[in-house]
This record gives sequence, structure tokens and C-alpha cells, in this order.
Amino acid sequence: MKMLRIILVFLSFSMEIHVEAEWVTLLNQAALIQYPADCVEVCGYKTFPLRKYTIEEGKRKITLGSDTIILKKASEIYAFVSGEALFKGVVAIELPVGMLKVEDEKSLIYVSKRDDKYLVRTLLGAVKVEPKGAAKGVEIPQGYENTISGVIVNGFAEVGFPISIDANEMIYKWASMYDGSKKQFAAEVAVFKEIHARARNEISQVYTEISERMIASHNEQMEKEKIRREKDRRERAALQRMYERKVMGLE
Amino acid sequence: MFSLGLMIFLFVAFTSFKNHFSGLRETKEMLTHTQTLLEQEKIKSSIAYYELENMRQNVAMVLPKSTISKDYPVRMLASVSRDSLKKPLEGFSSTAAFNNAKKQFRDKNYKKSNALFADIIRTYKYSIHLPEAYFLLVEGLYQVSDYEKCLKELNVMIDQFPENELTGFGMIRMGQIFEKRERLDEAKSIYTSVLHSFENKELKKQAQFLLDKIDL
Repeated sequence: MKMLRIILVFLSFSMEIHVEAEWVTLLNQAALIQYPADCVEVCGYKTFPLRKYTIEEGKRKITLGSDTIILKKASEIYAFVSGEALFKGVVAIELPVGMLKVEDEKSLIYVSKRDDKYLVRTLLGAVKVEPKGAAKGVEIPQGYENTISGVIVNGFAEVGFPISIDANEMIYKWASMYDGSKKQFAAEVAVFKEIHARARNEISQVYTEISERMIASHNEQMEKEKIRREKDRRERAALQRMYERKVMGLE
Repeated sequence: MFSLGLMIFLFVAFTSFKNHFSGLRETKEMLTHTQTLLEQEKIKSSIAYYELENMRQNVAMVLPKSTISKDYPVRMLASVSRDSLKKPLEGFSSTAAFNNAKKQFRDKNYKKSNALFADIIRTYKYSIHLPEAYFLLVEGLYQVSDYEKCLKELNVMIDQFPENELTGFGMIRMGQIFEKRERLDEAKSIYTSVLHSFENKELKKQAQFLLDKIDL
């Protein structure tokens, strides 16, 4: 009888675990969905939540993060719709706010949409940004990140100031999207760290220069303000004298 | 032993046929299909939103140029951000109006300056130039010998800016008007008030001088 009880308890646990396992498998059955289902030229791709997927086309590799949507418009042109993605190889990425062009095969760039802004990070190689409406494009050198936001009153999309990549956050994201071996990832991260250190060094010099310029500009402004105040004071004194002459002199 | 064997047999039989009879497989397939459809709808709506955003950015790109035209709805859309539309407002600032009135006062066009200062006082009730505008209006009215109006404006000035030095100068003028009208006691009281209320040495000196003149 005791034996039977033990068996019954064991059976009830096994059945519970079995049902749980089936549910998890069901939810994560697919990693990528494409639309239209049988598309050839123009295709929309979407990853499921908590899943990633890598699309390989020759030397080009596009890794889509969780819940990401991209649209393939032509052989080398993709429209980035939402989420986050890593693009490796020659590719042109269309955004509502402009176009990103990668011309180096070894380039690796990260694109994500954050609120109304598009964040572009160049892990390896540079990317050319053509903001919508702007006469000239800008380049994001390797190791830097920049944001592109909507068209402003001047009639062109606004590109932010380049800064060195937030390495801690990026490596964490990269690791979650990486589909190769750990050893391979460690080697790629080592290369990225060198690039990042160089970029950080460069940007610190730029910031030093900018802050020096700002201080100089502030000092100049203070000097101008001092001159203006002195001029105002002299003008007020002259006016005061005029009032005194008029009233005291009984004009 | 037989019971144990039977239990194990029943368990294996149960797990093998459970899915077959429960319909779980069909439900799972249906759920997967529904989920796929849902995700396809999400792609469709996201791409539609992307295209809309793309179009909005294209419109925003050409909009500022079109605001040069006099098309009212388009201008209204961009009016909040057009720099060129803000420029005409400069002409309406109190400083510009005050400088213009002061120029007329300096050129001794008192009638014109009086009208302009009265207009500034009426229009820009919170302007930093208000005490000076009042004083110059009082002075202008004195110059054209409109003493009634001058006294009226001076009273307002004393009410609103009692501590301003210009009010002190105005009060000297008030005393002089009373002197002209042979109301010496009132003139004396005003000069005394100036003497005690203001720190400006010249102002005090003048009030004392005028007070002594009446006493003589």
C-alpha cells in the first residue's frame, strides 16, 4: 500500500512536468515568420518574442533580435521597421528618416529603434548616413554610435553627435544575438574592444576641445556682457543727467 | 509485484494514448496556426505604419519650403516653427515703441511723444520701461503746459512707483505747478515729502532750494 502511494505521487509529478514542457514548446515553435509566406523578391521578416534569427545571403548576415521586423526591398536593400538587428557585410538599410549604407564586407553594424529615434552603432567598419532632406551625408566611423531622428523644421532629418559605443550594453546585446561559438565571439569582442578604446580616446579629445571652446566662448560672452552693461550704465547716467538738467534747471 | 507491474503498464499505456484521445495535438496545431496569423498581422500593421512614417517624413521634408506661399492651412501647420514668421513680432515689442517715443521727446516733438507714451502705458502694462514712460509723459505734458493732465498722470505715478527716483523728479514738477497756481502750502508739502522720501542728493538739494525759495 505504501508502495502504491509513492508510485501515485511520482506519477502525478511526472504528468505535471510533462504538460508544462509541452506548453513551452508550443509557444516557441518558430523563430522567424515571413510575409507573404511564399515571397521571393519583397519579403517582410519578423522574429517571435524572446527569439533571434540569422538570415544569410552569400557573405551578408543579418541577425534579427527579439520581436524585430525588417523588410527586404531588393537584393541589397532592407528597410528596418522595428526592434534591433545586426547587419554584417555590404548592405543598404532604409529608415523613414534616411538611408544607411555599408560598403565594407567586414562591417558589422547594429541598428535599433528607440522611441522616435534610430540608433546606429558601428562595431566594425564605418557606415554612411544619408539623412532625409540633407544635401550632404555624414559618416559614423567604427566604434561610434549616433542617433537619427525625424525631419525638423529646417527640412532635413536630424543626426545627433557621435559618441563612443556604450560597450557594456552592446556586448551584452551582441552576446544574446550571436549565433557562433563562444571562442569565436570572444575573439570578435577582443577586436571590438580595441576599436572601442581608440574611439573613446578620440571622442575624449573631441570633448576636451569642445569644452575648451565652450569655456572660451562663455568668457567672451561674459566680456561682451560686461561691455554691454557698462554701455547701458553710461547711457542711463547720461539720461539721468538730462532729466536733472531739465527738472533742476527748470527748463 | 503484479500490482506494480500493472501500474507501470497502465501508466505507459496512459501516456501513449493520452495525446491520441485528448485532442491536444489538434489544439496545439490550431494555436500555432493562430499565432502565425497573429504575427503575420503584426508584420502587416508594422509595415503599414513604417510606410506612413516614411510618408510623414517626406511631407515634413517639403513642408517648410511650401510655407513661403500664402496658402493658409499649410502656413498654419508650420507657423509654430517658422523663424521668418516670428520676425515681424519684433516691431511690436515695448522697447522698440519706447525708443521711438523717446526719440520724439528728444527732438522736442512733445505732442507726438505724449501720444506715443500714453499708448505705451496703455498697451504694455508690464513693461520695464513703464516708470520712465510715465515720467517722460509727465515731462512732455508739462512742456506743452497741459498741467491738469500732468497732475493726473503724476498721481498715478506716485501710486504705482512711489519709490522710483523718477517719481521724485515728477513730484518736483508737481510742486512747480502748484507754485504757478499760488498754492504754496501744497507745493511746500510736496518738496518736504521729496526731501524725506528720496536718497538722491541732487533731488534733495533741489527740493531744499525750492522750499527755501518759498519760505523767503
